[in-house]
Amino acid sequence: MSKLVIKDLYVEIDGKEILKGINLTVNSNEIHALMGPNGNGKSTLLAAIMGHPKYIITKGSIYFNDEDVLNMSIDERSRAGIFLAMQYPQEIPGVTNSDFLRAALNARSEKPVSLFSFIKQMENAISELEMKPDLAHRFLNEGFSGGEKKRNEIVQMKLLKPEIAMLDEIDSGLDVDALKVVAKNVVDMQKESGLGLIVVSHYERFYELVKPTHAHVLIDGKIIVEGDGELVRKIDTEGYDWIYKQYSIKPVKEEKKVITSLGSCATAKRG
Amino acid sequence: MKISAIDNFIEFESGYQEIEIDSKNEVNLNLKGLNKSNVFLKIVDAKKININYEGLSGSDVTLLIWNESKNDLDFIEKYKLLNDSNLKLAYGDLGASGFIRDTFVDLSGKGSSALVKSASLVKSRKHYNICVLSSVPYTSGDIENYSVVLENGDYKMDATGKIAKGAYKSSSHQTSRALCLSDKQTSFIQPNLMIDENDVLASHATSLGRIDESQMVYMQSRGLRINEIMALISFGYLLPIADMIENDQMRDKLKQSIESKVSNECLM
Repeated sequence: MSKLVIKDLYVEIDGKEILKGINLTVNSNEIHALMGPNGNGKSTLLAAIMGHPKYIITKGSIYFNDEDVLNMSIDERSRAGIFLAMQYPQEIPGVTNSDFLRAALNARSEKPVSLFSFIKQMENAISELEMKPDLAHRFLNEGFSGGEKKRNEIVQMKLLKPEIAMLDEIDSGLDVDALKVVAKNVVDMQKESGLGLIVVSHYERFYELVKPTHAHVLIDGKIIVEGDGELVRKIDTEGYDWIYKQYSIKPVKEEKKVITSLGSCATAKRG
Repeated sequence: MKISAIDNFIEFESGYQEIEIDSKNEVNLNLKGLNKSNVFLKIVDAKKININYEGLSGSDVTLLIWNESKNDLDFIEKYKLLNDSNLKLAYGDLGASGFIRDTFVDLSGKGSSALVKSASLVKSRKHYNICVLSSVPYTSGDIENYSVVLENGDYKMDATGKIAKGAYKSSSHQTSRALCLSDKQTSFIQPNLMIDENDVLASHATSLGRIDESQMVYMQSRGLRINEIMALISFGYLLPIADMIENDQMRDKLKQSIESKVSNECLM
């Protein structure tokens, strides 16, 4: 049994406080839906758990299987069994998918995995995600479509076999069929391994397929409402307005980029 | 073929061949490309190497120079390509000793083309001065350089693509990338395009720096330690040079040697 315990977590980025006291416990076999309007801290919470250096923890604690996560580097967290499927997976030219994954697997075991067993595992995962077989030899995410990148995150998850996995909008960029394929793989793996999940999605359709056991609504850096699958359905039909009214709160509006003038034009005459 | 004499005249045979240089002195190589050849030129030791190459009309030569010299080395290389001749010139250097390499490729025959590549693992002085000149119309010159610069590395890449007046319908492209893995190193890339004709194609791309932080975080989040990430990315920079060799055994041997060198540098 694995257990991720977050207590009174405060996180800031560039001096701006984003999370303001988060409490959340995730056990094996639990599927947590993390909901809330954009820009209110969902991705920040996941990135902070993974250990992204941009996110500064100012207060609170995160423990994973009684180990202090905040004292661990990102790679140590991964090897301990935490996985984050990212919203925007990075492209790494020059490094093939298979070299990358094999190195990642070798990093977490004392003996290197045999080439034969690795190729078999990778081929299985690729075919289960219904991706093209040449995926293994392509450079990591380079030139992948949005959907391919998301499926590739799940390929990685299947091979790395985490105990707690966080999926940050894994369904965005996927068409209906791909969504089903991804959901099926997540659900199968969850059932097989007892994986604990934190799922961020804006779509009821994905939640319908993965069937959350818990739901949390994150507004302005705090978890305001908690419930189960029923809460997910209610938000899908009624939106968040009833929460704003009931708890008299306002969501953080996503900041729009402001276009600023450089002051002079490059083609202007020099005086 | 093993070489230790000062003056050497070699006409490349068709197909794959290996040449090894092991000398304490200066070595002059007068080389000729006649047909379709794939040549692996390995430098075990030398002080100075002068290469004069002529690619005859219609020749198609791939030459990989692999420098394992224990001593610092000076290269002076001149390549002249006649009508419709094609040269792929690759240079790989992973050793601890330094060099100064001066490479000049003259696309002097219509329809000739050259691809000049280098891959270096740098922890000493490694200075390149590469120039590919299109002298006549319908020629194409490409330069591609990849380097991984480690502690005490002193990397300099001066790469010039030149298209002379009258050499219309020619192209000149170059890419130079240096990955700097230490605070105690210097890397310098100077990309030059000197174009004296209108109806041509030319481009250059340069990057010099550390591994991008977002890429680092992504790879770390899969459990890779920082030194393991450096090794993986360095392989990506350096391994492709081995693909220039058609002989399967030799190619695999080179790849293994790149892997073990990089692992030794990054993972120790």
